[in-house]
Amino acid sequence: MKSLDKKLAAWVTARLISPQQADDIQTFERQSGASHWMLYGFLFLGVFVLSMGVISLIAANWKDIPDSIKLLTDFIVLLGVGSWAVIAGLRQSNFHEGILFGFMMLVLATIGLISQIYHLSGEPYQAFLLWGMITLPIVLLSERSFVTGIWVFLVVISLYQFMMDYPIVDAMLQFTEQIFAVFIIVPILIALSEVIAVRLRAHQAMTSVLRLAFLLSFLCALAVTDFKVTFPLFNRLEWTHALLTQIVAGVAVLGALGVVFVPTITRSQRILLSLVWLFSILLCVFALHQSTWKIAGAVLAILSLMALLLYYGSRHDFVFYQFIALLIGLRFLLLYFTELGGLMNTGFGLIITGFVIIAMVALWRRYQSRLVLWLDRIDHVS
Amino acid sequence: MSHKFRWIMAVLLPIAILGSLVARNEWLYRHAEEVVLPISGYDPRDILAGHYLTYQVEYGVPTPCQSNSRRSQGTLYMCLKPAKVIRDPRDLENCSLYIRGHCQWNRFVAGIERYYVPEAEAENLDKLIRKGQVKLVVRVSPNGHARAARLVVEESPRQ
Repeated sequence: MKSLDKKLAAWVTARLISPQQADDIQTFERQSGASHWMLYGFLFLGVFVLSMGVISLIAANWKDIPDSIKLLTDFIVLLGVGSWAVIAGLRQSNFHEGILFGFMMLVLATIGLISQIYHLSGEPYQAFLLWGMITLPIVLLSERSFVTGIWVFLVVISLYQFMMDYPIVDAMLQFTEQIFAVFIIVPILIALSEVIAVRLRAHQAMTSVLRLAFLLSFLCALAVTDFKVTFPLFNRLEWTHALLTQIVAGVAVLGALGVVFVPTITRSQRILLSLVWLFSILLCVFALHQSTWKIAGAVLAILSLMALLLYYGSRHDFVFYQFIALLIGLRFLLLYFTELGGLMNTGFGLIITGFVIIAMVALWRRYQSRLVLWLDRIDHVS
Repeated sequence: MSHKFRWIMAVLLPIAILGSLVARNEWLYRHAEEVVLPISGYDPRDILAGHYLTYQVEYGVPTPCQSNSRRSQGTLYMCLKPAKVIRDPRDLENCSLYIRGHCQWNRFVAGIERYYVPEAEAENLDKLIRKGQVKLVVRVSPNGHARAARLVVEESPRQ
């Protein structure tokens, strides 16, 4: 509400709305569902804690209860909660998403119960991937970011582990090479999922969460590759494996296709994304060929992040913009510590860099309108 | 497709799949042959993880897995009658009962290396396994899928 109050005050000052209209908007927002966010937060917390309790009870191995009774009770509860979720959804109840989340957690608990009763082996990530697949339709119908966010988080983490265990990746690459390959493949898979979600007209929560997951996985991949180039420890290991080169080439091609064909961005944004991709792939190439030019890691990573910063700026995604700006700052800090060594050198380096960044901000403020005009011309060139 | 129908199908799908998982395992239990195999703990530090036991099944043949990778490609078949390792599925016709699995970290795994136990009994069973007094009853389907059924405790350690 504070951000809304600030915006309303700015609009009143700019005479876009009258003070009376500002008051009416504030009153409406306080009375609407938007003010129930605290209630939803507690609701989801309560459901989550309750679900963990149910899972713990199951994990405690109730030996005295026959397996058939356990299964029957579990499926009756599952059907009951599922029916409740459907009815709540159709009536658009305020607690619908909480009930839906509870149902999804019960599905996970049921997978655990079946594993326990039939002594099924397997890694936890396999259970999460099964859970992810069978609850996907529910997530696609859900309209809240919380349910979607939990689902994407668990599935992506499980995906990383699955890729590490995948026979081809595991059998043909050394362990550290597997990490590299997995980290650069996963962002591509997430980006493909986002494109499919947009094409299938999935709801806003799903595409937003996938966009965030892509950003985080891409940044992880950038960090892994950057550190490989920058730090000598990783350079001792063999990286120039043919399969790894093929994976990087494949990722490069898919990324290029994605930039060309993703439908919802402007031409200028497409150029910026192309720069992000170009710098990232150059970084991968340096990583593969064990270059001794360690500073290349920092330079290419910072260039890639700068292009990403401009991209999010052009989309007015200010949260992501500030996050990327913070990462660039941290990378500069790391650069000076690793390359210049002493505190004095680092201090001078940071002061100079700070002045450069402030100067860039001043230039941006002065020439922003001209730059925006230039970007608009690019977008509207036929 | 109406909104109501979509919601009903979305909720019924996981229930149906979980139900089929139960049905498949029940079918395996009822149509499988029982085999008793000795087991031993292979890592004393991790023999208890949570509330399940992990152990190594002794098939009576040297381990066929020599690689140190997490998981190797391809399925292996552990023939129980007679005891031998089969790599080519065409040779299975000479084997009346076999378990299918794969190599993982230099061991043959078939999905039966874990047994859930009540918390109160876990420590005692752990000690008995270390002494070699526990055997695993396994149910094996005609196509080699195995499931752990129960543990059998012997009165004296194996020689």
